[in-house]
Amino acid sequence: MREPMPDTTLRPCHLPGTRLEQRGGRVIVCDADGKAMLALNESAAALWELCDGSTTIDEMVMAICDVSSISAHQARDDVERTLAEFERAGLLLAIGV
Amino acid sequence: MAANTTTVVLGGGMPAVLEVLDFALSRRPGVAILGWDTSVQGTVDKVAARSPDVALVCADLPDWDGIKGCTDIKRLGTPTRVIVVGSEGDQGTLISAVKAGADGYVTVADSVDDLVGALHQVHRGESRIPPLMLGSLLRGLIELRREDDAALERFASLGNREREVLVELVAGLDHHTIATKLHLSPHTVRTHTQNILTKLGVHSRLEAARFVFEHDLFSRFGIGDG
Repeated sequence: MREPMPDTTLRPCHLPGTRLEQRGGRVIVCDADGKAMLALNESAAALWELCDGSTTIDEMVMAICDVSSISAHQARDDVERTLAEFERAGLLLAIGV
Repeated sequence: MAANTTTVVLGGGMPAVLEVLDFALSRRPGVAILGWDTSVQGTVDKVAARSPDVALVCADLPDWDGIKGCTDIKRLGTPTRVIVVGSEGDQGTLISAVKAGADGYVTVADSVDDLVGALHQVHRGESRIPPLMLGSLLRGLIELRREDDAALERFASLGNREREVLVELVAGLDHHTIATKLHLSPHTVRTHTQNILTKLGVHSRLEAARFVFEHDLFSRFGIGDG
């Protein structure tokens, strides 16, 4: 069954206390106690920085289109997939992506 | 030339730097330097004449406007991709480069191997941004877009008469000349001017002109000579 389209005007926000750390050349999202929760690639880490509750999914998509050669459709897919991964890992306040 | 070779034209204001880059990159397999130039126009001319896969241009230096070089190369409309070489952490230059159409940004701290990787990556059609600068670049672009949206909204709030007066203000005409030209009283022109400044959120006609040019408002609204 097709999943419902996310509302792209939502402003994803990471859980309070979570933060990015560099460990052994990898970028890791850690919880408030420093426990590693998810390893991120470079693009995902950049997206994570935008999950501050003030940036809409649309804005994320447009900014990625500005710096890459991919289509808006592809950028939207990438952003939504990455945010869904954050959400599955319990790193975001619920946004329904 | 081998099919998997990336051809390159170099541009920058310092001959010694370009000679070193030419020397280092020419010795790498898969890279062919087609020439270099120390002037923006000379670099653009070489790109136009030799159609390299990639133009590698230094960011701004004294007597060298690398962002203009990037803009002018992109305006050629050729498939040549552009990489700007700037300082590590120089967010302002990175944003300017991206806005000018750059396909990649490398820093002076990068190794020659990194540079070669960036040349091939950009040649393949991918973009190349230093990973540690990507997050703040996206944030900066989002901020710029918000400012631009706000500017468009403010401009859209101007009435037709106010837009006509603004065109003349930006052209540098005084109130009396504008009044004569638009068949208005000087008092009415002054009132329109005050309303324009308030709606645009600026304090002088000079600021209004800068606001118009920064956001390219006349072209985008199809007004005047653009």
